[in-house]
Amino acid sequence: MCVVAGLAGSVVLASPVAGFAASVPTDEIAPSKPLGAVNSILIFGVGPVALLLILTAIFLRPGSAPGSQRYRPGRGWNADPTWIGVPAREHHSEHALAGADTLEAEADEFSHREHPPQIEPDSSETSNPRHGGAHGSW
Amino acid sequence: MARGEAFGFVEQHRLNEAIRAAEQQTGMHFPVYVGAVSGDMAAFAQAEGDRLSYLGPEVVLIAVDPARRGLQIVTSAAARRRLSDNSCALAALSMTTSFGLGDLVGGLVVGLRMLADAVAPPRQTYGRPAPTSSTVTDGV
Repeated sequence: MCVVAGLAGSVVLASPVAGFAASVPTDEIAPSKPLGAVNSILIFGVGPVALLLILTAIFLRPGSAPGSQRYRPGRGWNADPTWIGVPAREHHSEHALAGADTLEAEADEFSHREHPPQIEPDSSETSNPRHGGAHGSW
Repeated sequence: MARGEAFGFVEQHRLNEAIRAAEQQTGMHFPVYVGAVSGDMAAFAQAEGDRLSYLGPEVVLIAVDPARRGLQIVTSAAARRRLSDNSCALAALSMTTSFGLGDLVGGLVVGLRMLADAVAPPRQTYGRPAPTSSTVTDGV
């Protein structure tokens, strides 16, 4: 009795699947072809390597990696002058760019100094009384 | 070090965000210059501060010359009323400490935050002066 009931239940449960399988034409279900050697190399070899190279190039690009610091005390600074927080058309200054090259030699002189930072407020008489601020060195 | 852009995309974004936050917090302008300066740094910073006065009356200019290891903070006359020189010196000390460790961007970000936090709120003017004394009446 139990065996009959089990068979009947199986037929009832399997009938929708059988009906769906019967509705699909058999000619659309083609057996999968084996992947060729060239395709295997392209998919599993060249693809991951290319992705790895792209990610490496992105993270090793100077200044783009998280935590990277292009400035190294003692090695000078040869990057282009940069204004931040100012509209782009106002970046030019006759004071800044004039001595960029001549200061490279001067940078070597400063680069070997070893002394604590010196900070002074600019409230002395030598500074412009209209301006305030501070200056320091490291 | 080859000549090129001073900061990468991420660093530039950090600096822009720090400047934007400081400006939103205080209403002042915080232009930052990083590069070589010929001649006196204080004169350069003051001249640039005057030139950037079109941004607004309250300008706090930060100039950094990594090659000379020099930092100059200049506040305009209006900005000086809300940002003391001692506060600038404290921020400069923090910045130069980070610069000495090679962290230019981190020093600038922290310095901008310190400067913004040290700015006093703008003075409010009232149309009618507040009473200086009150009369107390005994209701007995």
